[in-house]
Amino acid sequence: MQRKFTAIVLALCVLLLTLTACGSKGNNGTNDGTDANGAAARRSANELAVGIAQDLDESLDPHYAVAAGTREVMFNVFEGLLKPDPDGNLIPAVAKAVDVENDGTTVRITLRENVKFHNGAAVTLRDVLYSLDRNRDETGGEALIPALTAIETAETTGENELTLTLSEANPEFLSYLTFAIIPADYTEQATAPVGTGPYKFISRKALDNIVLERFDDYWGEKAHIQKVTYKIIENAEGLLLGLQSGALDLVNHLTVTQAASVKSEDFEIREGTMNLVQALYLNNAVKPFDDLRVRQALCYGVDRQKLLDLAFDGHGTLLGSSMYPAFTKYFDASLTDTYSYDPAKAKSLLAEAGYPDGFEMTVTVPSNYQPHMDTAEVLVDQLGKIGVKAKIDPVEWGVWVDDVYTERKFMSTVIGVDASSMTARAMLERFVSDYGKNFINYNDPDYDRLFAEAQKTFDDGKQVALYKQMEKNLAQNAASVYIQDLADMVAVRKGLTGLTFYPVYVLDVAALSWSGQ
Amino acid sequence: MRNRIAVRSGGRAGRVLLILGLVLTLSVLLFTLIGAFYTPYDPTEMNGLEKLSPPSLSHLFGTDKFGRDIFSRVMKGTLTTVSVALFTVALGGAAGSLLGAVAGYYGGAADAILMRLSDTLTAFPAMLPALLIISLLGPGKYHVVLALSLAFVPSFTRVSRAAFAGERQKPYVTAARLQGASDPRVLLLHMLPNTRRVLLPAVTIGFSNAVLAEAGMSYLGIGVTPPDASLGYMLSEAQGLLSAAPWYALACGGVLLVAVLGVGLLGEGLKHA
Amino acid sequence: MKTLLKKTASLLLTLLLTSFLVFLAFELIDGDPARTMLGDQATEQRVQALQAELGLDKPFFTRYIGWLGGFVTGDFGVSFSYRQPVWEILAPKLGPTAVTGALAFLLITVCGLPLGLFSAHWKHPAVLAVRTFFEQLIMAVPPFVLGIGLSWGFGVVLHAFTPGDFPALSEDPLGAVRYLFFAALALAVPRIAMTARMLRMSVSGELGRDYVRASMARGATRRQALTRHVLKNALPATVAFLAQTMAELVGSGVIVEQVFGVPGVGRLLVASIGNRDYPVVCTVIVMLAFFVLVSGALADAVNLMIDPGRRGGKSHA
Repeated sequence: MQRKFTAIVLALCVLLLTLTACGSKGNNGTNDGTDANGAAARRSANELAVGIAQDLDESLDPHYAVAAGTREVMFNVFEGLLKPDPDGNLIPAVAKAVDVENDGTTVRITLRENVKFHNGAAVTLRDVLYSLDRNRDETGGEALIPALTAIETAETTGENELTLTLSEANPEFLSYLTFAIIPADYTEQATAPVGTGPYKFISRKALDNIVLERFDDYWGEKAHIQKVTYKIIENAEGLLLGLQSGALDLVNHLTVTQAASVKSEDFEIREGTMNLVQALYLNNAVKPFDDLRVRQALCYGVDRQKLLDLAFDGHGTLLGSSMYPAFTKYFDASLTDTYSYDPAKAKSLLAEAGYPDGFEMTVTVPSNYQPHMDTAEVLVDQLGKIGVKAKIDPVEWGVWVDDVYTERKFMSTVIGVDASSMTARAMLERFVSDYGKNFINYNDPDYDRLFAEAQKTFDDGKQVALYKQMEKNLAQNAASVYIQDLADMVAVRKGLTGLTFYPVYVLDVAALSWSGQ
Repeated sequence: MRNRIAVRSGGRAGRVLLILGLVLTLSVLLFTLIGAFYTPYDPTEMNGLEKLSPPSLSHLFGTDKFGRDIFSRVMKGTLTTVSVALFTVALGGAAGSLLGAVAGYYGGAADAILMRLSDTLTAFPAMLPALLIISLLGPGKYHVVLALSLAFVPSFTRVSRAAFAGERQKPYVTAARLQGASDPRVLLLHMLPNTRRVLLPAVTIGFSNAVLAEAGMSYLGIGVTPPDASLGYMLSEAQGLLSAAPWYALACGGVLLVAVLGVGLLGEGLKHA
Repeated sequence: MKTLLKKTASLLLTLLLTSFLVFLAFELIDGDPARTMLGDQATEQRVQALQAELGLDKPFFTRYIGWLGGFVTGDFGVSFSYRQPVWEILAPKLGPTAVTGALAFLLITVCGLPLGLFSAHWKHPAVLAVRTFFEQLIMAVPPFVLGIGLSWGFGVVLHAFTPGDFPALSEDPLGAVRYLFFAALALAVPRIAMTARMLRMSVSGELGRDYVRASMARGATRRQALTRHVLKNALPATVAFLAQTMAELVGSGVIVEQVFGVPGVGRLLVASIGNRDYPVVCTVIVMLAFFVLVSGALADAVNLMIDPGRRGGKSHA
């Protein structure tokens, strides 16, 4: 009896093991021919899987999006009247034409015909006005896009024509007409966004994925790939594993080390720039960073070239202020060397400021961004050498947005700041003392004055000069420890073509296609 | 586990295991102890020229993505992991044993309530209360110790209560009491030595559980935070470099395994020897 | 029947106490979710409006009763991070976690129990030492380390599954189960060794008892004694141990889901802890605690059915 029992159980055991072994073997067998890992299946179905390191903002409403990562994805879903092209020029999108008249104080917008929302409705002037009003509405405090408050009147001047009258001319004004056009009075934008872009939103699973599908009624050149799934994989290991196992076709924002480890016959590594200003951002309102000498000491105490070599194999572009090189017009390369590595000077500045033995500081870093984590690790090591005991506080992205960006409860942080539109203002306004997004609490009257002046200047050359002065102001006052514009290493599965780099933080999926499809 | 029965024929085997366990545990402890005072390289020293180099004579476990010596880092990481586990067991074990001793010695209503409570709490995997506490306090070395020791209290209470209750009726206890020894004296001097057979294995099991729990939590990113490198945190780093530097994961995983195995064998040996 | 009633009552009481403690803990740490949700710049008016909307202006016990009532009827509140009902976020995560747990449990029983019985017969000291050594070795492998190894070996090298590409359970159930099998394996392996060890120890414990010796003295073989008496007597301890196993699977499952990228309850829990999404954390922890308590109670009930004479399913040992 007992023998029988043992025999039966053993038999069951063997059966189960064989079954499972067969299961995996069998599937392996059928998979191997057509697709080692689902990648080929996606290719033949004309689908794409993109790995992203963070979930999108809690609300998908384009006018409220905070994270660059959200804009990067939703770039494919939403369009403005104008939109940027890969060279950084503004090209008409929902608008057919935008004409500037009267020395820049009148803007005439002609709507493109046959532009449809993803819900099938045609875009009307009413939708445009609705979207515009939402962004310039000041009743709740600061307008979503403060630059749009320069509009005095917005009137319908024809069947398809809208005329804006501005209180003062501004050479950058058109760059702000890139805000997303959304259907008037549609209330589900936060969870089921509807736009006019080449892809339409299908679904979102919290912490899991976002699915987009080609919008077949798109007014312009239609996208190539039928369905795009963004998979949220918050740990760097998972992203790499996903590429190697075939779960993902494209991952951008990889570090050089990561990119090197996926380089294989299946992938091509492309290098672009991330178009953001990575810095050790210091909360200028807290001790000891309210002291200029301390901030400068940190700038002298960081060997940025060595940091690049250690963490990024030398890739990346060193920066000295809040502007990156893709903004060719505004970028001032000479600022990069405002502070050269000089630990002795750093120490003497610290002593002068009353910290001969250094101090303790916390660096809050969103842990899902490997490049920032790596940078922070090297920074901590380098700061230790000038006596500053830094500690990394890795936090989830949502917590970073709440604590650092929104509530400004932090000492310092490593992050990349990008531009929401192709304007110098987008990069520089955030350090104006009373600006709502001035998360580092930078407060310098000169800076504020320069900014106000730049907004009143219609002459392009003069305005550029003012913006450059602002950059210099930030550098000299050591507002933060400016580090670099990161190299953007993108792993692209072989056969996937059309990857284009933009001077802003976006990934244009509509331009991608599988060769042979 | 409710068996306290020694395997009859296990005497010699028990000794072998005990020795093996001792050797492994002592080597891990020695490794940890040396790591506290000396590492071949500065574990934070970065070296751009020697990134991700494979194991060699100068770098026994190779180097990581910043060119830091993995051997030195593993030494420090083991130190963190082991000290977190030791403090956890010391705190949780002391509190639990005390509660259990008092309950088992005095009996009565307090005993009944305490046992009911710890019976319920022992049912939960330690991970659950630990996660709850970490979610309330936030991550960090000290919070992990606190969370884990609190999570371990009930199981220690249970074990120690059973041991003390079993000893209570024995003649030597009665004799000591008749001689006028105070209760704490009876508990600590007379009974504690006699419960070691039960308590020591419980401590060893608690230690390996603590090592595993700390490593797991740090792996999840909600345990020890950098620059305190622990084995779990380093494993999560190593997982991303599996193809580029497999030796990194092997080194961390290996040390973790040896530490838990050594203590496990030790506990097993103690039970049988 | 009376025992059953008593047990049910005590289970309900424990459930109530657990939920109360967890609720209290979150109440202490996050006194004002409305302010947390709205941020510093919000006006007092908006904060008060939201407090009223969330029912935070009511006294503590009223809120607890309200929350408990919601919990029982499936209304778990609203997630801070997603502004969606907790249930909508939690529901799709239950499937993968349940399947992983069930697979692991199956592996553990099907492999662990026979191994335990089988190895109970070994007597040679050298064999015993080797056996114990390997047992301890396998028990010492942390599931997440094994998981890293498995996902690398079977996923990247052998392509038996695609780590990071978990097919939705509803769309491709077979593929999903195959994927989860590897996560279950990582969970099960150390536990198989523990189960085998546990069963063997209670069996050999019983073998040494008087009644077994008596039965063998009457001419029964060791095997017969084992079948007739020992298994039956070792069963309650085994059932209780398996219930404990289910509970442990909950704990280590949290980590293993992270390793394999399984979009399950554990991963949601860890992410929500990081995001300080207290309503989700609270719901998940209470839910897991309920699961642990109920499986323990079920084990008791099973033991009661096996042997009604035995009180509370405690074994002789």
